Amino acid sequence: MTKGTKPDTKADSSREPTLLERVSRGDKLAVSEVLETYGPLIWSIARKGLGPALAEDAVQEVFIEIWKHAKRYDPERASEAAYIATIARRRVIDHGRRVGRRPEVEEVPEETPDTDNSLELVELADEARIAKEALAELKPEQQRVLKLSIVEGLTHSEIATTTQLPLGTVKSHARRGLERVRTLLQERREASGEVR
Amino acid sequence: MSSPFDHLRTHELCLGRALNDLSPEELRELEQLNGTTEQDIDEFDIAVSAMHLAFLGEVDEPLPNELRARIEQSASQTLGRPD
Repeated sequence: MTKGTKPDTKADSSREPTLLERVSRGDKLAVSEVLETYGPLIWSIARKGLGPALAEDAVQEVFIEIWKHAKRYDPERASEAAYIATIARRRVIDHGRRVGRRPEVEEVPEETPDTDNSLELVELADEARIAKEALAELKPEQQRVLKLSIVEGLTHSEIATTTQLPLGTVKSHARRGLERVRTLLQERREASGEVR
Repeated sequence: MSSPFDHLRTHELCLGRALNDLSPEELRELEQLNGTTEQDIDEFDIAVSAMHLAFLGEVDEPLPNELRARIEQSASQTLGRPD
């Protein structure tokens, strides 16, 4: 995947079909393009959520889910990247529950290496850019709680233990942060017609 | 017809579901309240995924080749199958 590649996901009637729409019609080339475009993202979500040993099975399950639900994707509700990331998150969490995997607390660094093959996720989904803006408004403690919950997959009780914060504070940080991002996404969607 | 209380409770449960912070009982309650299942995706889920993408920033490791080949094979089986 080369940096800056962004699938066309415009939602007007004259737009090109999205990758998922093409997949749902059985387009084999679209399957390869989905793997190329979103494979690194799904691989990253699975490795961080489950560890490398369990990630492969989970990634296969994620893609089966994507193929099955491709026709349910609505480009007016979310970007393809956010939709796919949601499926991946759900599957990875389910897989972790089934195999009894508890996440290791290994927080991701603020900056990841910038290589020729890297893919900027804010380029892939406008929602990520908006979320980044909203997260920057939050206190560092709130950001850390959200990161431990969302990226590392820790339960709120585990976050309370890790951060030494009261459980009620952890829940409040997570919920307020999510409310903030959701509100901002909604406002932007209303202002521009839709988020892309 | 749902009450304002139901609406608030649904909102709270959807928020908790997106954060993976619901008990099995609460998941069932959510399903009864708004008729959605665990597989449905709502705006809270999209917001959480947006944050996930923002936190990750960028990704640079492609799928391992063997895994990719297995997924391509499963795609032709899954997509060729009727719903």
